[in-house]
Amino acid sequence: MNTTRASLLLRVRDRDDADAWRTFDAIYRPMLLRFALAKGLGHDAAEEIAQQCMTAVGEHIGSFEYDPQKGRFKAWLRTMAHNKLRNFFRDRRMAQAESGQLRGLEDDSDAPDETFDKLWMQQHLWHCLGELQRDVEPVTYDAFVAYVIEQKSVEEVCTAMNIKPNNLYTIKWRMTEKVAERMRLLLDGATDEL
Amino acid sequence: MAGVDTCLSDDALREFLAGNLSPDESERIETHLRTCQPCRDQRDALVNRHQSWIDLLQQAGVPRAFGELQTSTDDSVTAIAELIPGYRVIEEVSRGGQGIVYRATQLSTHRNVAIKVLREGPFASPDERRRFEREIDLIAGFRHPGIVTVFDSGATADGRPYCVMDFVDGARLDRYLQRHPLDIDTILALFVRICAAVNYAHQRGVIHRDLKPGNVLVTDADRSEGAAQPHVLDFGLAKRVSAIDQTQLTKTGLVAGTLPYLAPEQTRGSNTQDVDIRSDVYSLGVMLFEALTGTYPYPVRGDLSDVLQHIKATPASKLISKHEVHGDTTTASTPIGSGLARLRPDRYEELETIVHKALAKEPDRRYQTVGELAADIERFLRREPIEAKRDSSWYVLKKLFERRRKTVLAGLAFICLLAVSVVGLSVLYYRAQTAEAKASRRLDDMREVSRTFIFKLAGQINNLSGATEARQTLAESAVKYLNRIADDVGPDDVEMHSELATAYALLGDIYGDTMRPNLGKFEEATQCLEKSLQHALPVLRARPNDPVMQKMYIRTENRLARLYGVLGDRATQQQHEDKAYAMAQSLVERHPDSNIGKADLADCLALRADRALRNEAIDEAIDLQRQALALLESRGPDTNEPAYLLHDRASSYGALARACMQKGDHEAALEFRQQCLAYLQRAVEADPAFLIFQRDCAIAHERLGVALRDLGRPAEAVTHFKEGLRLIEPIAADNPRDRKARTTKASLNCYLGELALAENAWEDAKAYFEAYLSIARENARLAPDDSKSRRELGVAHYKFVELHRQRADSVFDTPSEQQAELIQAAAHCRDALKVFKEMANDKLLPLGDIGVAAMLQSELDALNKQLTAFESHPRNDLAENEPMISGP
Repeated sequence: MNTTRASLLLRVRDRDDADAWRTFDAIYRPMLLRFALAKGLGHDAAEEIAQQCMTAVGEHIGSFEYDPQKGRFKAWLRTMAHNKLRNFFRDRRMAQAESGQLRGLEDDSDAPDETFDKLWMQQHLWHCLGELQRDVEPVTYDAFVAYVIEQKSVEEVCTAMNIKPNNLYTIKWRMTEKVAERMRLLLDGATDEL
Repeated sequence: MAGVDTCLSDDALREFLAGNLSPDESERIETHLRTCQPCRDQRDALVNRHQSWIDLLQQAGVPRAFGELQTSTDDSVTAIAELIPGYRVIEEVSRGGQGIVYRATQLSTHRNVAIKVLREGPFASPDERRRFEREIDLIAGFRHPGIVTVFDSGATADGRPYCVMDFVDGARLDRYLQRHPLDIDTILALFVRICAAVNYAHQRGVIHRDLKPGNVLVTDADRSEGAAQPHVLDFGLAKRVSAIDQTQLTKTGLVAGTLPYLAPEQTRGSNTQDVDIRSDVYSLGVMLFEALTGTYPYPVRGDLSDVLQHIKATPASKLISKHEVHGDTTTASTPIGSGLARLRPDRYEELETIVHKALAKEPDRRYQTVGELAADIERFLRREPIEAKRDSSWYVLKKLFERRRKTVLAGLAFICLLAVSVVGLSVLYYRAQTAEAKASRRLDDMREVSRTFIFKLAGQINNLSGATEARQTLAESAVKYLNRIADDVGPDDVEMHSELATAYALLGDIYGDTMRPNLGKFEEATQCLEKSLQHALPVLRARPNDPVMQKMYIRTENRLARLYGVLGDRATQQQHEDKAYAMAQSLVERHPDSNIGKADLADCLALRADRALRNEAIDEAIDLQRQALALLESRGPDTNEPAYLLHDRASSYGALARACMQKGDHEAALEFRQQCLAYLQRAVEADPAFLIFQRDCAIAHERLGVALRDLGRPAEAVTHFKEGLRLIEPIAADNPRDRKARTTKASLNCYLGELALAENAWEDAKAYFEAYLSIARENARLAPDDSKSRRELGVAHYKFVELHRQRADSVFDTPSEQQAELIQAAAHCRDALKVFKEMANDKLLPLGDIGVAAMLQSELDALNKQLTAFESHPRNDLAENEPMISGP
């Protein structure tokens, strides 16, 4: 990821920035897929929904007025994902009604739920960690995951990785600094996250 | 001590942590850190600088590659532990059709808990999901020794709902009874306690729907009480099976665990509305039968369709078969059976009557509440005569209603039942007067009525068109009942006053909630709301910091204000507004860090803004509306706002737009109109079933269209008018009594006609005006006393005058056509004139329209003159075709 200050979102709006679009796709497609799966769709249907959403993102991103204060892209994406799901459920229900099968698929796509928000944050963090994994020494990454995320004890991590406790502090400091910085760029001041 | 070193600067530590120092420097700092606690603290603070990110990273967990996603169905203890933060999951306890139960420890309190993770997507619709969440909220407030306390709920990271409850180390009811053979009286006493728990939940509006031995855990005899304690599990978690089919039954294990306990109405499945508290009565009946006899009341093995048929139609068998009865203990199949056989014949009869009444196939013939069932069991235990065989008078009464309900709408069935149950409850009330526990019994009954209103009625009949008559019957019985109870409530009976306040407020809404479909009985509505306030006051005195009651008080005052506004009593309206405002302000002030009261205060401000606008204090109105919006916005991101608050925002934007129009600031008005529409669209999206939002959406399109038209953007205006028309047409067709829907449909046609006319699109204009005229005719017929409807009819005729005049001008080169157009114009002008003259005669003419009749008269004169000109100077083509009307 280059160091331009322009947020991912702003770069993606410029449709020629293929790199940005790849990153964008790498974050949001799996997230939408997981979201659809969590809503009870089968894998094929979930991929279809994710594809529909990504297509819509591609179509609208150019005209999208981004207001960093409100994290509107997230709200927009959530609304759109919900709408696609609702349409899916509606079509499915109609098809079932026509075929005489009355038991509908569960449609809770309208319900206020935290699934989307959780997945949103989780996918961004994972993406960020994936980048860091490529950027830093394996031992640094592994120690960070074991110590900070899996919350293993200092002794356990140091023994397993053969490092000194002081190194662990350094690793935690450097990695969390990087996470904070990269997440800020990824989310572009969508400060409602924190 | 290496204290000779000076302590480390923040920068030095940062450089050190970043690894930018030479090995020597690092070594020096490490040495210092080993000995200096303040510097270590400083280092830790730096390292934990991004604690919020660290928390989020821990919640997100270790990244899983995409191929591992399918682990969302991984139910292993470790996988689950990862998905539910705040708990240490210890082991899986059980696994069933509904979901999986784990034993866990709550990390913050170290208490033992059970976490039930439901299977994904047990909800058939968004409504069901909302109901589930609401019920879990309700259940979280339950405190009853017989109900397992639920204290947390949510969704796992992969979206499955879960709830956390106290861990009860007990045995399932059936296993408990197998291990502890109890005598009949002890079993019955245990059931009374189970009933008490279930009744507690019913009184709070929650139906179990899945009562069975597996959902009742029994802990061993409490030494102080000397009795086994039941704990009822899983309130509100039962699936609302919308249609029972074989695959689903086997898939979820319903056959194995639940089927024998389903009430007949639950097996029908097609209409989940039929399921109410009496279904729980039935399930308890099956459980009681099983506890007493060790078998089911009818065969439940074998082919599924046979079993369903048995549940629906096979009467419950006798508690013991004939040859066992009366002392012949040798053949009794179970120890309890032998106990049954030893009962005196009349006692046996009574017990069987109780069980059979609980097991009646028709809900109406059952005990109507679990409380009644328990009361009869207790009477039996006290050797008092039971109620079960007695009066069938209100059963008969219900039958009467039932006969009628077949002739009315489908949804009415349910309302009639409710209406009747109100009657039934007043019967209960009379009975209770003679009983010892008069006060508590009455409170229970009271709650039953009000909760029934709150949870079933208010939600379900709001949108039901055509239910007016039934609602009225219901409301009247309820008022009578409430009045009777309210008469002799002691001043200190705070609970009772609180229930009464809630119930009266609801009734007020049914009579005349100005924001929703209502009976249009505004006088009755004000009476109910005022009674609600009377009962709210002692509660507020006793619990001055109870935000729930305060919010209700504010809302009730505001509703009264709006009602008095509708009734034209502005002074009283203002009094109520002011009271609500004062209360709302203090509520917000008392909770500065939360959202409590904000929406209520915003509502008060909106009412004040309306008042300012009426007084033409436009800037003040704008300021107040902006304050209201700011309050609503300060509630946080609006993505999860409930639909009615989105609607509130839309109303505020609408009011702002009106105010700006009055000031002549059309650009600003347009912007507010757009906001108003956007919020209404979101309200519709949030609650698509609620027609009022859709109707208001259509109105917003209309207003936005008008604003665009006035700004000279007719093409955009047409788009909005057409969209409004598309939305309003089905609503107006389905709800012929909704005046607002009718008038909106009318005016949209009018605007579209006008714009078509401006484009010389004659046929379009004519079609729109024809629609406009026909609606206006209908409206005037339906509301002959309403000056607006009557006026509209006049305007509709006048639109044809405009149409035909303009057309006449455009066909000036074909005099016959021109004359025909003018004849039409004159005819409509006469009709319009007639409308306004009649309005004047009926004293319905608005002040602003006083000159209209004269204007129409002169226009008619002009038209007639033109026509006369045709007649006196006939062109040849005309002369050949038309007879001369007047001579030279």
